[in-house]
Amino acid sequence: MPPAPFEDEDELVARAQEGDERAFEVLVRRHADGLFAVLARFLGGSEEAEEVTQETFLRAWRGIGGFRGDSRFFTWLYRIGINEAKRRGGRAAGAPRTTSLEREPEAEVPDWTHAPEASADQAELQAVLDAAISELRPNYRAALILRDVEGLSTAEAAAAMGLGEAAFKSRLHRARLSVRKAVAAYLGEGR
Amino acid sequence: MSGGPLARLRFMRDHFWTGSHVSAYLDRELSAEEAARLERHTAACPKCHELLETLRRTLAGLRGMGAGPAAPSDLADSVLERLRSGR
Repeated sequence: MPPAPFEDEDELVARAQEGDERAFEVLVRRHADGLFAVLARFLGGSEEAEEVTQETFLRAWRGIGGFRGDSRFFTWLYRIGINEAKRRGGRAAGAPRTTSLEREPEAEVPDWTHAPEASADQAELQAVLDAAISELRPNYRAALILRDVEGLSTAEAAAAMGLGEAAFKSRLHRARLSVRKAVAAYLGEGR
Repeated sequence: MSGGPLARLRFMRDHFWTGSHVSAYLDRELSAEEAARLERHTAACPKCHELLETLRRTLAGLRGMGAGPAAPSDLADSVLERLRSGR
């Protein structure tokens, strides 16, 4: 199928609310990858993220009549997705973020290629960040992923979590400090 | 830190204030006056300087994590299939 031409999101939502499946299909194609990215980070794996992505759109279709347009459609969608992921228990406490060999910390692999040191440092730092994120409680993890990893604005991320901006910022700050502690320890500067 | 009791009191007040505003500083959400207050304090306080710099590096690392696991190429199709089946 060719890419859908750009259609106004508010118009698509309004049509979907009237039962227009074609309009909702455009919304699915527009937002599925973004939602999956957030959920894969939150859940720590692709398989469950795909399942939750499907479930999220199913719930969104059933509940779109209740979307009042107070926030952007994708933040409403992300909120459903995060709630569904949390309902399923999120990432198991202390579990590795992924089981894929491709994503094992690179520090454990001997470097025979004399790759630039900066790349190895970046890979090590990413492993530290991955582990620290996985240790966060779900509400803190979601705040950090939405704002700092996925790059949503504070307003968007707060809306996706159903929080006011002040409450969101407080939660984000605590999440950041927790991850910073792991980074400081990695850098040898932990207190 | 040096100076009399008032200076020490001001230092401690700025110390705690900095700890709770460093995120907002890095997000450029402080006023110019507040940012200057934080910068003055971090220049004089090694602990807050370290907090600021490690948090700055943490945020840079988070923002540079790049794409996570790639979405399946047929993700939207599988979603639509599930919607049509109504399961």
